[in-house]
Amino acid sequence: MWRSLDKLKAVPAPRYNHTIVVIKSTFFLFGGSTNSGTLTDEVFLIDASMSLLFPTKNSLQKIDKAITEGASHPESTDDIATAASGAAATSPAAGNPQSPPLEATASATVKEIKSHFEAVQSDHHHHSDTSGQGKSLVRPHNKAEPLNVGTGNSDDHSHFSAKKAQLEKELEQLKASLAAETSAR
Amino acid sequence: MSWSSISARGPQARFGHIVAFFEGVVYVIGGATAAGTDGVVSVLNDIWLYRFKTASWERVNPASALPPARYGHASGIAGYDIVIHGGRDAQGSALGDIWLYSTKSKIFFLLQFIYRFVDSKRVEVARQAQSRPRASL
Repeated sequence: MWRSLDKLKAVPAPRYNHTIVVIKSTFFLFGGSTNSGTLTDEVFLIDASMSLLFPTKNSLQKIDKAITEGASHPESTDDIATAASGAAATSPAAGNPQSPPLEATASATVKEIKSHFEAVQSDHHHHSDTSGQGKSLVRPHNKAEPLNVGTGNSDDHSHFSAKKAQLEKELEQLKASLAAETSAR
Repeated sequence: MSWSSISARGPQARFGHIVAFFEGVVYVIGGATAAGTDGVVSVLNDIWLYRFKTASWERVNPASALPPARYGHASGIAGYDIVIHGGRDAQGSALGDIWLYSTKSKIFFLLQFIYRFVDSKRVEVARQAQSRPRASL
């Protein structure tokens, strides 16, 4: 999922001449020009610790939960945005003047990244196929039914201790880069 | 330390392309050629790779259709995949699509993130990837 330091921006709006740097497994998208020619200083983060196409079991469970909860709030079901169409998602909170200061948002982002990394680390049923061979690339997506989490392949548990160390190191780097980003403003 | 020149024949002159380094190979995707007298740039969607081992360029024929031509896009590596985001099309319009090029299968996928809002919170519902077959020759 994209994380924006500005929580009201769901996905990066169409842009050009921006940069992406991959810090370990996190894509760090910065800046660019939008259609109006306006320069932007927006930062978006997206986790690609396994592959952009293979969410972990834990993240899928969160999705299932959200869908289940969302079913009792039918008024919210129409707000669907796709990043690929470039359509900026219309957050109900858009225009909220109470948006938190950047520093608080940045540390919240770090917290979210950390919790996601911890989820990845403890997820023994992740989808380990990153071969990109195509057959399992397309995840089923059906709003009406919970997503099928699947059992996945669990033969590589030793992977996770190394992964944990890597993620902890990565988190420290992310904290440092976010702190630098914050203090640069 | 100094620059050294490569004589091997490679991609045409361009700007606004992306380069990605993966497993000893440099990938070059897209970009635009210099503006002509009419100020119009020619936008590219070709993909080339440069192998350090053989110091040679190769134009890649993907197993799928290519993304629309673009320049000024950004890219990163995720696993075996090169991810491309945004850029400008031939008309100069900003793009917001995300493409994934699998270096293993040589297939381009259009990535889609499906969101919905639950109690004012944005939730990713699904990710999907679409590829189109290459147009028959």
